[in-house]
Amino acid sequence: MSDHTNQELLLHYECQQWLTHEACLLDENRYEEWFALLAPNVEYMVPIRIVIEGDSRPAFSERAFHFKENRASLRARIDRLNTGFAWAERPPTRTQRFVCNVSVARGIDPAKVTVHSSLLLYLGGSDPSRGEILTARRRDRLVQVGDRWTLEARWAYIGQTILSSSLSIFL
Amino acid sequence: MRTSLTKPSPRIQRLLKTAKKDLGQGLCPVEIYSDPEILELELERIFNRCWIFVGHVSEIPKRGDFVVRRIGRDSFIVVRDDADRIRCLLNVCRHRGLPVCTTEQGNAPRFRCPYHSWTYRNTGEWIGAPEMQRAYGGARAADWGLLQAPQVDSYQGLIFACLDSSAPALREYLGDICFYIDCALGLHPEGMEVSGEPYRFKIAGNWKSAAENNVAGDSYHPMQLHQFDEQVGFQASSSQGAYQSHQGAYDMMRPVVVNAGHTLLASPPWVRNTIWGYPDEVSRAFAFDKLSAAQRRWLAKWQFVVCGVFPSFFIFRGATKPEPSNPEMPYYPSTHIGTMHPDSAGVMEHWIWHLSWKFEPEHYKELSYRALVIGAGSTGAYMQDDCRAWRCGFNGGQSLFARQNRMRFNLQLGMPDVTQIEEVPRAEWPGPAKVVYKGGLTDALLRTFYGRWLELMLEDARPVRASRSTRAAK
Repeated sequence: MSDHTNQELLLHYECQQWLTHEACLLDENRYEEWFALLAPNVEYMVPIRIVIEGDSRPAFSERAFHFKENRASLRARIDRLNTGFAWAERPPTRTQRFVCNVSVARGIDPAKVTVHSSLLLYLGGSDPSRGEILTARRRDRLVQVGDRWTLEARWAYIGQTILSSSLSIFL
Repeated sequence: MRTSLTKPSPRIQRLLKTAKKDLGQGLCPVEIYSDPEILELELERIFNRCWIFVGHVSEIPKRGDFVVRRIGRDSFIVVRDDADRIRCLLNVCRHRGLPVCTTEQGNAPRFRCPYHSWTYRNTGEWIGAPEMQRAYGGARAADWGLLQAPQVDSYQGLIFACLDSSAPALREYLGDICFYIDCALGLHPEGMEVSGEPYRFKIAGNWKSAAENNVAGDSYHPMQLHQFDEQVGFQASSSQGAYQSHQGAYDMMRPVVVNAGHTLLASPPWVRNTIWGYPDEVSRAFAFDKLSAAQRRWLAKWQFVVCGVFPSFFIFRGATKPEPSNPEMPYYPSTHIGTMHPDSAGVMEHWIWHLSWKFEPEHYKELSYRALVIGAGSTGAYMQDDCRAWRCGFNGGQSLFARQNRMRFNLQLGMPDVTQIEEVPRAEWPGPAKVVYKGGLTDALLRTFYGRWLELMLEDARPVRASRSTRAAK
């Protein structure tokens, strides 16, 4: 294999490992470690899925969002979880994240990559006999800082138009 | 479209009779949250007789614009027709019953059923079918239009529909609560607009549990269920020390029984000497000429947290910021409106819209929207906890043992034998009200909600006329 191919494979492997690691941190409620993966200027966006007359493509609102966060508001969400009074997460939602369909694209800036992935998320809530599934296609921008990657942008496009519950977890 | 009401079974008649006696004592039988027959009766006697919120005028500004909404469990197309009239069409083909619209929003001159291509104008009128002349030459178009709500109207941009043709008009149904709706939404000639599509999500729980909290403005819970916020500080009310001093927070609240099941949870502005907490650069654009002298006097001293329109609509406004740790970011008023629809006794669907002033500077719109996202949106901190709490009624009613022991919930806070609570003297309250309580330690608004609920559940004849309050302001 050429050096170029090797580099591409390595990059793909690194990004996939990053996503797997991130899923693990979120599944284990290790929010401080997850927060450390975020770039200072992170944008974290989950638009609302809509169904518009005469549009055959998947449509998402340009104005309405489940999450529309920056670093400060994500910090506040984690601070809330740390207060001990976040009743929705007592006990914590039992989650399992399955990440697949990973593709990696380089841009002009060699330190940045765009990573697409699909997420299948199992949510076990307050009713122990029931669980729910949430799906999302994600488009992330990772930035290389030294020998590690940080998340500069995440856009998650949820499959559902009507959520089966309010969400107290991250996608 | 006036239909006679189904007579409840003897068992339900007994339950409602008991409920009447119980509610008189501030007690609420657990069955009303879990019994499927109660829900069927509610759909018929409450949702299909009261004015139900279906959308905001800014969602359908142009002719042909439509959104698909719910009344009870039914799907309706809320459309601005080609003659600029807002209609609420049942989304069921008159021919065989398929939905004639399978999207959620858009612009359409007509709706066509995919099955046999029966087609309707956006007025609901039946305009065609294949081989129209040969197939239906003998049919009258007027007989086969889409069913539609006999009454649709809007107030301050809020569109309501009523499926009962004999119900009073919207303005009369709302009655004195209009005084406060004006004070919230009528401060600028261009009005408010939605910031985007609404949140929609399911909640495990009976719809009335959410209504107790959101429509009847449960004033006892915020400092408990949302206690996290005394450490985080999304809302000015919690960050400014009110939550730490529960007494202070309760003392600031003014629960107001308005009329006909409509209620208000009022308070002084969280940011002193402001209108609703708006900074001068926003509030100086407000025009008060459409308001009465009494409304201006009220606004000078008061605001509300929740304004509830029976049975299932509310307006909420709170001073919030999405980045509590950011000292540069001000607490800023964020307005949302919402409604809840029952799917079954134990599941509801919650809808929330954010509103901003059309004239509002863009960065304030953004600030106020992000405050909803993190507060009462589908992933909002306050909403997460509320959703956990709203299982309460159904959870109790589901228990056989609770029912066997005639368990009844306690709505007695603020009743004379239980709580010492003062009423605000008439002279100190410029708005219309039956009673204004001095402090939040009362379930009076919940008892008002259930009083109205019971009237409608028991009453077989005409519904829902809003009596004038005894303390109408001049």
